Amino acid sequence: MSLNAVVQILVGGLAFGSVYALVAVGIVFIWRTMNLLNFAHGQFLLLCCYVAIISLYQKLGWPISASVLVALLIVGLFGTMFATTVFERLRKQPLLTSVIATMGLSLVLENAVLLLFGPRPYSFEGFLGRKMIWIGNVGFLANHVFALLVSLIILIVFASVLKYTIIGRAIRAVAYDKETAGLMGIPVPWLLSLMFGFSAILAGLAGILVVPVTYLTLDLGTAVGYKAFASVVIGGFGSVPGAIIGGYIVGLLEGAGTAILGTAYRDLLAFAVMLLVLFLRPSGILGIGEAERI
Amino acid sequence: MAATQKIRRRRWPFFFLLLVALWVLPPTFLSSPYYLRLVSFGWINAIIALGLNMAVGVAGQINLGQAAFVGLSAYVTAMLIKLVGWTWLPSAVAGIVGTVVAGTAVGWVSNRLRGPYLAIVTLGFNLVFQILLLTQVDFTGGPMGLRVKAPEIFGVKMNMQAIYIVLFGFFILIYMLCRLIYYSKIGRNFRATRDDEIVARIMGVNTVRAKVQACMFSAFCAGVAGVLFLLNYLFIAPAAFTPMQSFRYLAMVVIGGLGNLLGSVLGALVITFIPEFLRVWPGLWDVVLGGSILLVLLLFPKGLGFFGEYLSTLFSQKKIEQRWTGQIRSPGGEQ
Amino acid sequence: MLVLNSVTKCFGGVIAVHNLTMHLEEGEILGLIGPNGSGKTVTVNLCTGVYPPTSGLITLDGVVLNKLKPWDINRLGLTRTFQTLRLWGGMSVVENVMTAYGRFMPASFWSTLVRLPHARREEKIAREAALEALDAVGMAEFANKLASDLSFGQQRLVELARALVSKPKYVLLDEPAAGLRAGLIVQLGELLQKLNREQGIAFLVVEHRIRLIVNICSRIVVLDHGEKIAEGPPSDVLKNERVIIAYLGRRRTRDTDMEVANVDD
Repeated sequence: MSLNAVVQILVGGLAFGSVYALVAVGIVFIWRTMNLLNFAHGQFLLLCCYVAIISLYQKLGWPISASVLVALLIVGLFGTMFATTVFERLRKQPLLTSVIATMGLSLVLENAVLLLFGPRPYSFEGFLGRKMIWIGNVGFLANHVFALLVSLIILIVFASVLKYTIIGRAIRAVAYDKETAGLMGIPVPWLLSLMFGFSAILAGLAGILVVPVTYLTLDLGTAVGYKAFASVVIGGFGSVPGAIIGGYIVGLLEGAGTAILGTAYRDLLAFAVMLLVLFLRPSGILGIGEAERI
Repeated sequence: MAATQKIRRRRWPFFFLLLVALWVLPPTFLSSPYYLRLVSFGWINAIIALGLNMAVGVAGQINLGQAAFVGLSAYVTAMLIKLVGWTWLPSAVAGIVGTVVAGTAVGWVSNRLRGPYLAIVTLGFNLVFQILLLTQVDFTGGPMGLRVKAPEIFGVKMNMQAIYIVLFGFFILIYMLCRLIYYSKIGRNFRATRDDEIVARIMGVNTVRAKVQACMFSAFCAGVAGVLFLLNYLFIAPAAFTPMQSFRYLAMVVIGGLGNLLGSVLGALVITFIPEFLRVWPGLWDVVLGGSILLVLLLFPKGLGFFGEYLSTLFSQKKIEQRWTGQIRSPGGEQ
Repeated sequence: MLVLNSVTKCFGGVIAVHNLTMHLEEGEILGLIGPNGSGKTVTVNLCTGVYPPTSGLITLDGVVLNKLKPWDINRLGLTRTFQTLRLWGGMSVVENVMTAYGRFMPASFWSTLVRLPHARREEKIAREAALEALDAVGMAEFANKLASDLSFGQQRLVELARALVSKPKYVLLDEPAAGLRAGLIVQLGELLQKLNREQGIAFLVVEHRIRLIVNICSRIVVLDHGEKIAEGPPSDVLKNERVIIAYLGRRRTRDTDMEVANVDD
């Protein structure tokens, strides 16, 4: 394989990986703080993309940045609202109930999109169009690099907020021990809803970054969503750095899968590895997750 | 005691008539193949929902991949018939056995991994299964699926009516099995494992075995359903066995009421038939379905089954409370 | 005899139980007391197989319990009740108790499924035994009620019936009087003494309420910070200086003597 091809696959893998990482981080956050496995996370991504790209940008003719921002806000608000009304009530219920609830939500969101926007796939070139970046003889898709850089920046900003700001400390306290955090005066329910909304925004952003390098279809939600879950598992369930690393691993596995086995098998490698990890090393490849053995 | 006997005698004729009606009327009066198959499909979904309910609602396990179990049995059966040339019966048995083996594996896993992990394992299994179905075109026919011919009894090809009758018979069988299990020490062990596993262990319940049993039985139901699915349509394709479909089966169980057997049947029938009226706008049905799940979880956790129980108490004088506590029918027959 | 021999249990860095050696003789009523966090519940959990000891040996009538599964320990004749009430809320009262009778129900899955005669027989016997156990604690009339519909005190009694139905030799009661009003506590004490007298069941009673312990226990073991600090008949133990300090945190004086005497009101 030529160097060009290898580099393309690598960068592409990392780009997708960063997208998965963003979504995975949201999933882990919701899991750690609300004990909820949000199977609707991919659908938040889907909703945001459709609203931004179709409604605002194409139909209403808004400038792209405004469309993106407003769509992110809408999704964030929606997530917060949902967290407050539905998930707060379900928090005390066993895991099964909340899984089914989020799965119900995913059915609603995905099919609402189908109802409103139709089954036709769209393509969207993003901020950078089809430009390529050339370093010597090797070329990268600008959108790949863009996705990679933007997500890195967001993750770094996010990590800094968590580490150095008051609200970051509050979030960490809630993730660590909700009851005590509440007793310490932290407004836990409010913060939880906020975090849910924020996770939804992360997912939406990930979607905006990934659509330029793939198609905008109804499958996008589940496609990215399942890979994000795989990322969470592979990196170490329950750990945020694990989710990020897992995301990149999944992205690379995807690239490897396509290169070695062909496009039809693109997803197989990632999910097979996920299952292997669950069977052999549930605490994740790096062993930093919460190993849940009975 | 006498009052109970009287109630029994009063209720039985009604249910027996209902049974016969459901068994005989559709094939006799529904001439359209589409609608007859649809009713059959309802019973198939009921079987799947019942099996899933036993594992999820009664024993408290999580299974997000029931559709894959159904598909496993359907595809194994179809492949054996089409590619290896076996007749229906041995192929069906092989399909069911294969699914039960997979179910045992899940049961084994459920003893080593907790909640969220088990959820993702079952989901992962479904995803990998999908991919294999789509890619191993030589075996599975890929996205285009597999077609088979109807089975023959004594040289005569089974027609739709005969298939319906067989199918409904299996539904009755599975429903009875579920009840036999539920109202026995097996069912109590399942429920104890669900309600408080640690305490169950200390009180003498082998929860490891209980979980495996529940998963195996759930897989058995899915296996039977898979064969019946193939029988009903004589055609299977990967699109019928996706994770989304697994979610729909869970929806049937939840809307019917977790742990409620009659509810699963009602939930399955409702979810099979109502979409037929909402075909106009694609996607509308699933929005309604998802919304209903949320509504049920928030407002009516007891689900349709509770409503069904209420209806049936109109025909008997037993109070709802007594029915709902799963009153032991000691196998000897006395209350 | 249930014996703990130099048993230690650590959770991460926390030593919950340290080098504990004690025993419960057949047919006796032993009290296990100590301030909060002294390791009483951990001890009960260790005996019933919730988790294995970090070191040390636990034996029941000579059989080593350390590596056994909880249901096997149950089979040997050891059951318990729980500090926080833990019935199976979704099942009826009689179902709760019948489930605990599993020790005497060897019929296989298939036999039970198709209702072979010996399976039906064993189910009938289980029901009778459950009703008998419920009768012994006075709860037989609630047999078909949903367990979670009962009052707290009633549920406590059902839990006791559940622990008794499998004809155990040793029953560990974890704070059986918690949440009960004084009148019920007295009844409970009498019930335990009656069961002990008539059926020879040995009880280990973990409690805060010293009055109950004093009334029914022939012997008391005192724990503090996971270690045994005293053992003996109630009269001796309650005068023990270390015990008093553990509960009251200061040196013994005439005032503290009087406090101890009134301590469980």
